[in-house]
Amino acid sequence: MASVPPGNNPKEKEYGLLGFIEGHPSNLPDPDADRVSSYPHLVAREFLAFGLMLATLLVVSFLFDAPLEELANPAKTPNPAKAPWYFLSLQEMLHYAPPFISGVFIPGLLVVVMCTIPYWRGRMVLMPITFLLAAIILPLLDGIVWAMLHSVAPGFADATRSYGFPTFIMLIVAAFALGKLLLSPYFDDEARVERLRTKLFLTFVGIVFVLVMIGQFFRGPEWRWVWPWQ
Amino acid sequence: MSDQPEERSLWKRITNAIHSTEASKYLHGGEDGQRRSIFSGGYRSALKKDIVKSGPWRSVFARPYPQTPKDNSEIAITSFWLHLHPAFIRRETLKFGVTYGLGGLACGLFMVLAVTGIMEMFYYVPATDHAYKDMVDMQHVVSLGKILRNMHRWAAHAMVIIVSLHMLRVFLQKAYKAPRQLNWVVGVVLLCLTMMLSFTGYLLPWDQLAYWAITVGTNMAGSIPLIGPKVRYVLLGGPSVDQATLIRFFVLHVVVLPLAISMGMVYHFWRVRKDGFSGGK
Repeated sequence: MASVPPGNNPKEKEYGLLGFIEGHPSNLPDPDADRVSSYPHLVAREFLAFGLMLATLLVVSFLFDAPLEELANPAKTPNPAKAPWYFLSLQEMLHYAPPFISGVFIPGLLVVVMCTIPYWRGRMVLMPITFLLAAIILPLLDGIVWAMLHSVAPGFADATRSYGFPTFIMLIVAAFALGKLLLSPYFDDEARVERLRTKLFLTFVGIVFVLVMIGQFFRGPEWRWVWPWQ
Repeated sequence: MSDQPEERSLWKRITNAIHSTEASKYLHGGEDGQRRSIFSGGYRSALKKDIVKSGPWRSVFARPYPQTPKDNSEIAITSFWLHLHPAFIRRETLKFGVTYGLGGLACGLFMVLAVTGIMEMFYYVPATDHAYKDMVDMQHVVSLGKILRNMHRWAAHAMVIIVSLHMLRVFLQKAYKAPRQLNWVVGVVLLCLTMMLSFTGYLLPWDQLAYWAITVGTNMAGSIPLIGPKVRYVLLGGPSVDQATLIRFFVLHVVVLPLAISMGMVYHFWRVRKDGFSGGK
């Protein structure tokens, strides 16, 4: 009895827990797909990619030096003082909208909406994307609405400028318009909604990209428009 | 050897052990009694056998080098260094155009940043009267210091770009759909942490670029209604960017945020394993 390993003797075959479970013993979406072992197929690709990345990084580091300006001087404000490039879209909006809207409200909304993208179902998938777009576009219009408010009640307009009330009013109006829009039978076609969602998200990415580019290459002293060759 | 009585003399025991190695048997001819050179290929393979059979080697590499498909599938599970990988992966998913390797590249860039960052810490002192001088020294005095700093800087920019592109890729492939919703949220948090790491690192050289970029950035936080000035005060450790800000950003940059992003990454990868590679599906 001891001479035969347990698994090889059919009379004494030991069953694992999975042997008693109905169905395929894995939660893979398609158990019958064409698979290869990760080692070496995936691991070799990872090493190759890491090596190429490191080589590229070394070459770039030999060719281009990281910027180092003069010692920090609180008394000497550079003009313009630019944020890191990935925050330039926010700084560009700071040019149009009050700081709370462009620097706090929109980034906060972006993070919340980004996080909830997978949880919006059916036609509601349009909501987060539209919020993202509205969060970028409405503050750009904020200046116009504020100017109108200023012509009616200058004192109130000046006192509340930094909170960006016009943006909030426009957001509420946009939310009602969006509600009407979402009731339209246009959105019953799931495939069409998917395509529209992709287009809207790409528009959002495009707007952020353009704002970063403008901030990086087209803004000079006093945040004035400057052509790169000027 | 086992049929001989156990040797009591230490010297004998050492020489017996040496004579019982594959390499020694090979050199002294074994059965045919012919002596052979240490420069032959056979000696090298005998020596390799001895090393692979030795206790220390086997304690590190518990299994022999994988040779068969079965070994290949087992090593992904049994090896600590590979255990984040699944044993098998869809051939479709391996194609470059499916993922562009962006997530893996982001992880690789983080490893480069960790190593170069630790090396920079050997030279850098986070004090307002020291930091800038250390930077200049690193550029001109420290051997290869300029390359070290360049690598850290460019890898940091690259990581923000690569992580953003990774997110775009996942969105376009709709890989955030069930059952991967939670991992999308973790990814958004990791993107935020990446930007915060980059932003806190921005101040450390203590040059004009650093000082005013952080001043602009923290002024935005100061504009929150009611609590803004308090938030800004906590971020800066005072009314303006100064020594208190530098040490806060330094500790965030080298301890708090790297720890947070490491834990987030491990969870992100673990979830990828649990939910399965999307591979565009």
